[in-house]
Amino acid sequence: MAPILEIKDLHATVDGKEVLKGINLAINPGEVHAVMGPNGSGKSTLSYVLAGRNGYEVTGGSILYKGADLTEMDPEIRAREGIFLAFQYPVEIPGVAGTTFLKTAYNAVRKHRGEKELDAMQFLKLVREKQAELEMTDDMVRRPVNVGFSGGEKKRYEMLQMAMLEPALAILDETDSGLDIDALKTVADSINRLRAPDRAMLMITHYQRLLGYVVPDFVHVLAGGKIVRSGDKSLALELEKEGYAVLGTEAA
Amino acid sequence: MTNRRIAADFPFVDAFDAVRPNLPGAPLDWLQAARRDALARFHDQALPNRRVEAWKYTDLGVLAKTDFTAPDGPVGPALAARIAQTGGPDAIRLVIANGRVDPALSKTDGLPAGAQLLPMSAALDSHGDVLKDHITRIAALDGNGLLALNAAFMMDGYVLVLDDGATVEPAIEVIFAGDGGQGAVAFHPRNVVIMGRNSTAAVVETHVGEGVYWTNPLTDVVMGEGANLRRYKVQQDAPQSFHLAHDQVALASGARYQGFIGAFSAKLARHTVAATIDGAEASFDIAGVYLLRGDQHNDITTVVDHAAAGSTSKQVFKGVLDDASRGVFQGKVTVHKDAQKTDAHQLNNALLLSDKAEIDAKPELEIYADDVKCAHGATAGDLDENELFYLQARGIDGADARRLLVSAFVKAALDEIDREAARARFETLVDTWLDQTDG
Repeated sequence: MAPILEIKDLHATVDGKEVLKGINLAINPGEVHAVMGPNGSGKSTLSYVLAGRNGYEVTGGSILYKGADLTEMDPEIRAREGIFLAFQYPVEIPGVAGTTFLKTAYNAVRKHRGEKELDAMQFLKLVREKQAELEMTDDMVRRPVNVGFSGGEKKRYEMLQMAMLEPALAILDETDSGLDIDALKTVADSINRLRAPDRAMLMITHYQRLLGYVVPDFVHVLAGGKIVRSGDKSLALELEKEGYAVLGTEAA
Repeated sequence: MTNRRIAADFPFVDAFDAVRPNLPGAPLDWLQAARRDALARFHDQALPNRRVEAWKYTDLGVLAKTDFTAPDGPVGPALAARIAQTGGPDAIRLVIANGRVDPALSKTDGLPAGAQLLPMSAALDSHGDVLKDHITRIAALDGNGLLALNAAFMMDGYVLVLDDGATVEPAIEVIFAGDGGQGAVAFHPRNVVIMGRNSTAAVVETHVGEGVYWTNPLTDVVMGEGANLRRYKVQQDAPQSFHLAHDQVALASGARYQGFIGAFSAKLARHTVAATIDGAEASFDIAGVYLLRGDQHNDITTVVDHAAAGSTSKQVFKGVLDDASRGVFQGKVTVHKDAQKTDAHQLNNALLLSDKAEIDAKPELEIYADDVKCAHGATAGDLDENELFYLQARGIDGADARRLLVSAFVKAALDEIDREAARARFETLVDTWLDQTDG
């Protein structure tokens, strides 16, 4: 089986400073991988490099997504090709109505995939269905993107977008941060609903809290810009008990 | 002195005696005298130059390079056809083409009792005495050469007279068309709005044209107690045109003015909006958008005088500047000694889409009363990279993402328009402007 994502010896800089120093990672369809690590280990950098953010420059190695060179693609093309980044800090966009945003994104992705764009009624019906699963109201979906949302609401809105766009590779950057226990369960349910044989997930997290609800197939520890250990879900529990400090010398 | 002036020897100025008999109100001696006085003032003042503080950022030197003549005849058929579409088939409409009313394109019947809409030439016949007061008042303003020029060469504009309590529900459409297709022309519309107590009206002024022309409109608005005026300006002049407008608004107690300016096209435009709030509890709101590209220059200059207690003013402007365009916002608010409890709010936000675009913003507050609320803000910046990336990360392409963000940016100004139809018209104009960016 060909991996959805294949990262080889990836080096990347942010503002000229090298943050990723030789990452190797392969993710197959159907798999859920967790990347854990202390602050500053390069977790968010990895997510931005995969999503194609400006200023995150690949300086060495390769990233293949469904066999194609990802580094040459604009962020919007990556999104249409099925990469979804759930932001750690979803961006507030005053003046852009949530429905306009979601519909524009949804239809851009559909069009790219050769599927028919939905008309206003069909689209509304689909949003209603998905928003109910995330316990979101019409008002929350209509208001300007992320404006006036609490931290938990922002994360639920990310999950709504993910459910709508049906990605092949979901990258969840600290999706559990700032969530109370109820919101955490809602968000985890949403992630679990999307688990599918043809879909892969990369969960980036500092704590193993979310991993109790979304059980990963593999756990990797990122430290100092490299993956220093890989294992199954028991590795997350071990880290929870021992802390990242034990990796300190290895990381350097 | 000469080196401090911008040349005043335009062909149309030299032709004053020749064109005068064809200007509105030719049989009125007082008006002929007023025109001659104004011409003398213009020769004395010339055009404002950049050493005058209020004109520091807008250089009229470019006008001196063109030989503007007085317009001779109506606008061409293509332009006339465009005008005929404005405002819908049933709209009450007055068309001023090259500074002269075009009766064939106008439709001024159907106004309710107590409301009259006339071109200046006709109004001078029927309302000569009233207009004399207004024309004299404007002439006495501590003005500049542009005001003098308008006073000397005053041509057709619209005169709207509302009796006490008169209400005009549908918006009145006034279309100003300039046609410099046969050579550069200059014209000087004079508009007068006289509102009786508790009268209400809405006016949409649309400026369009072709070729090189210079329009120098002066609008004199006097609002009686409790009068309510919504005034929307669509400035969509020809790309090589010059638009230098001056509004002079006076508000009595309880009067409410809600203005909006959409500046979309012209080579150089200046909108001077001066308001004097003489009555208690009056409110003066002005909002607008200026969308500029190429080497366009747009200047919004507001001068708001709070001279009575308990009055409010609100200004909300959003500018979008692409290419090597330049925007100017000068907003002066004066709160006089007796204008206690004044609430004045002013905001100008500029979005710079290019490194070569420039905005000069100068908010100015002068407060002589001690119990007031005054706030002003001016910002300039480019599109937010975080917002752009967030949209792109959802599959929205760069151009569409920028478009969404620019629309969102100007929305706060458009939201100031409380009439659905007018807001929709400006939204469409913004969309049209954005479409041109993509092409």
